[in-house]
Amino acid sequence: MKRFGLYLSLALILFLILAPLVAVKEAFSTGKIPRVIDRLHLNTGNTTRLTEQDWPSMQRLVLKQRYDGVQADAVVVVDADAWPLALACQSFSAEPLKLPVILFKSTETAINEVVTNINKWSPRGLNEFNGADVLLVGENTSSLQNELQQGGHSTLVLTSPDIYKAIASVRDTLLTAGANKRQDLIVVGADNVKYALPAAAWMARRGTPVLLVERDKIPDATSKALDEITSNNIYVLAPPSQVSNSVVNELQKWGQVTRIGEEDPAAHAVFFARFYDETNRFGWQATQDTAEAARHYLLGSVTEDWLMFLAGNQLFSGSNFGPLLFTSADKLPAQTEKFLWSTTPDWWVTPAEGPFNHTWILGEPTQISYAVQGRVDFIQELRDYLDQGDQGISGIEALALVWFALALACAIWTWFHLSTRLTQIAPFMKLSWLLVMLVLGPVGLWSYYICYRGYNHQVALGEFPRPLWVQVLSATLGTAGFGMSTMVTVAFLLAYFGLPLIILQGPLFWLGSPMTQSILWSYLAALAVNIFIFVPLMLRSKESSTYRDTVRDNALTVFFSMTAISIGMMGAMWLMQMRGLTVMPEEENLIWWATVWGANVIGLITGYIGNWPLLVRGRKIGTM
Amino acid sequence: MNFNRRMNHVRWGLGAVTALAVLLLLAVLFYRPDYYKAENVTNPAPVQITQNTTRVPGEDVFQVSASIAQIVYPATFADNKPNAVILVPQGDWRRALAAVNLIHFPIDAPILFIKENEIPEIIKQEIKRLDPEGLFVDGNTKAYIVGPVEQKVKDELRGMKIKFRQFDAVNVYELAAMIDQYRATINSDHTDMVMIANENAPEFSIFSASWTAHAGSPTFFVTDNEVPEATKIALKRRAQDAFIYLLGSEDVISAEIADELARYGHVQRIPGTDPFGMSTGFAGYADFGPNFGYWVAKTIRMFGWGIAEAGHNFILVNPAQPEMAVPAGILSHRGKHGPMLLVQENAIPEPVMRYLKIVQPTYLSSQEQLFNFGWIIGSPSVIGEQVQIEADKLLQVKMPESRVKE
Repeated sequence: MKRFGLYLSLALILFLILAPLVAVKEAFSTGKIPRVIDRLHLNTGNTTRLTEQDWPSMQRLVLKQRYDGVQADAVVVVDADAWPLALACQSFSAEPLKLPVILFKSTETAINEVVTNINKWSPRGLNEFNGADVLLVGENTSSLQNELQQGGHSTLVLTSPDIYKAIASVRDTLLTAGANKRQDLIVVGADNVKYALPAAAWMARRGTPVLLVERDKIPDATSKALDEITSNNIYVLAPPSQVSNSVVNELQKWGQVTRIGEEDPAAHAVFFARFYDETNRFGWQATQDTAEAARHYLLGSVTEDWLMFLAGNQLFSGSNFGPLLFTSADKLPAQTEKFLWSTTPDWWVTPAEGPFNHTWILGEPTQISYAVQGRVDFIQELRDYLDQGDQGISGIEALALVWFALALACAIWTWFHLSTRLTQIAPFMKLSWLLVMLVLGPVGLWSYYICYRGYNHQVALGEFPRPLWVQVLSATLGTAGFGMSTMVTVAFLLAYFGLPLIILQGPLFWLGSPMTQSILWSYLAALAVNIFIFVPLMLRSKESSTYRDTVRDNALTVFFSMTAISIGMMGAMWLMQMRGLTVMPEEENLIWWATVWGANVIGLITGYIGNWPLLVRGRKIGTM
Repeated sequence: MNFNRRMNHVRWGLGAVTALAVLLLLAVLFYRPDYYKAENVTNPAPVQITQNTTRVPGEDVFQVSASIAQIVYPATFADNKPNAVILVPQGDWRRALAAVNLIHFPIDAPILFIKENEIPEIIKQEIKRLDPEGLFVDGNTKAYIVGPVEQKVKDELRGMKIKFRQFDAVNVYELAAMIDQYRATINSDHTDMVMIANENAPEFSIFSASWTAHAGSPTFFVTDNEVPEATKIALKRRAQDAFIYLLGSEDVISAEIADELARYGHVQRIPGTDPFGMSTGFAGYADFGPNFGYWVAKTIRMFGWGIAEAGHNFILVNPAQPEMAVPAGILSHRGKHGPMLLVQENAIPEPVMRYLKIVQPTYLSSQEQLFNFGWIIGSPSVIGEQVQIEADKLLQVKMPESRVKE
């Protein structure tokens, strides 16, 4: 009996220490994944995959989506061998020009395709381009010129063997055509396209021109282009490894310079997505400040060809727009993941209220894995503000974690205190106190302090002459320690193995409900454990009667005391789980524990009220 | 037995366990589980997407239902898998509509169509892909069968180690009532807001699926000229008077039936005279007020989408194929919750067009923009490609016409 009681209480202690950690069981098992995942399509609720293998087919898909049935004034064709030019030309797609931008590699099929497209769109010609309806940018586009002119198109050619000069001429053409009245300027380094790419989506939205610098030097052509315009707002989209500090300092000659840069490409893209200069309304400002907005993201693999990004970028040149983000092929970088979490909308009244985020994924599953897509979809799902959904940590859950840590600390401290200072206390009283710490946390520790403070000289006697209100507290905790821990344990195990559900007819149908069943069984278990095991064991040192007599004498008392605790505890649990939260929590959610710990405190209060008359009538002892 | 010595032994044991718990707690803060195990996805044929719509492809009801489940549940780790699957023998749209009442939390399960005598291969694959977790409020049940099936189907499920619960009744009125009772058992309460559909008017009824999946209000059936006994019993089960919303004008659900239903609660009609107009009427409809309770502790009722502003999602279905439309209700359960609108195979009817123009977003700023989005349910043989393109234009952000810059 005693041994059984000891093992049971140890099991309860172990359980209450380890069970809350089941909240992270997913960390250890993500469930079965079939070896081959069969799907009919590759889109999900919050993501769309542009399933194209290479950039020419991506360009075909996007241009069709974006410009079919749209009347354009002119078409821009840009050399696909020179990334700075292809990037710079993205600004032509923005208002007010709204021109399609085609990346071009000089092959026969490409020539045919471009000409067919241009014929289909039949551009009207643009005065700012001297009436030309096709703008050819870069050296290789000359192969198109004949073909187009034969087809009755008039062309304007921007080309130069000096890439810096060519970029500057694109800037000039943009300004002549009336783009960028705000006089913003993006400056990128010439070495690595990765750090320049995030600008593309912004340029296609706002038409900001770009200029190119070397790592340690401003080339002559660029410096000349800067001279032509004053009072620029210059944004250097590059970390120090791409554009040095001395260059940034030098740029200040021409305007207000802001550096936007991180060394890690994924972090770099995120930095730019968050960036906002309010004086100039420059930047996406994808932060909590714009939580009322919906967002579209363009997500590409950081190892992917830049052409894939710029081909996809045209999708964001019209009425859909948003930041460009990088991922690894088979895992979301920590920075990107954190960013997506931070910009997921919360809902307040109903999940139908929106706004909703959406991510466009560039490429096939070999380029960005399906697992990454699944993760992005999950992270972007609208979340309830109160519980922040699965895997999210809401304010309440953070408090619950702190509470759990405190409860552990209280239990450790109490254990040492009991075993060094209060050695004479009955062993089961000690175990009971440990359980009290685990179910009631700091409230338990406070009660412990109140119960034993100032009674050092009484320890040897094992009797503590407390004031009445403390006696009631002590008596309540005597039942609560084993009672609450049993209830919590049984409720958890029932939920873990699946709650019973019985469909009944008539007005008492709710007796079959899983919540009622859970309450019923955990209550009965706590009652039984207290009446038959722990109360006799705790009273053993006090009373000399037989086990049978102890059980009989105390059964009714324990029943009243336990019922008083349960009413508060289970009532509170019901209200919180069934009414307070929009979705009934599972035992693996941290919020389940938050409701349980909250309910324990309520249970202590109602238990205290219920125990008062029991103590006054001498049915319970409060001096142990 | 020296009790204190035994306690001494366990002292260190307990200390060690507590230390372990603290370590685990810390580990949790730093440990990153592998959410990226899912690999080797097949590369299916591309589907038509536009900037503001995605097509959910499928030539038959089996494919469409699997396709829809794939939108909602990527199933790459435990938290984006469903708790269960709802298996509905194909052949009766009313059965499917009754089954929609199982979708909502805490059940969280998609509808998949099966045949009465077998589970089609594509659905078997889909169940394996979804790997349902089991519903914790019902003994970790992993599947529901709604309707009659042959023994073979049950055996197949058992073979797949899928624990199931079956709902089968003599008629569909009782089936709906039975599922309602099951849901009430989970919640310990009957939902007071219910919808009533005419069993002969799928085109007036199917769009309730998105609201049921979103909010958990069931739909019960009436016939052309009477309220079936099972429906009456179901209505009576509410703790107090029900709030009854009729899916249909007086031509569809007669004034006599409305009068009869008024015995069981407060009756209102969803506005709209034709099916298309009523789908938009429902999308704009909102009825708020007091619900259940006493004195100060009254809960509120909120029925209806009440959407008249930009920033929402719409499910476009063709009412000519009601069984394809109904499972799409789950798109309002997770992801971008939003109402279901009816379109024809080759055209967007006038009322739907008018509604989409009302809620069309206008350009706001580069930093703060609202977007609409649409799902097109079924292959181009169900809803044509041109309809998708037209819908895309109605959903997209209206940019400023002039060449005035930002």
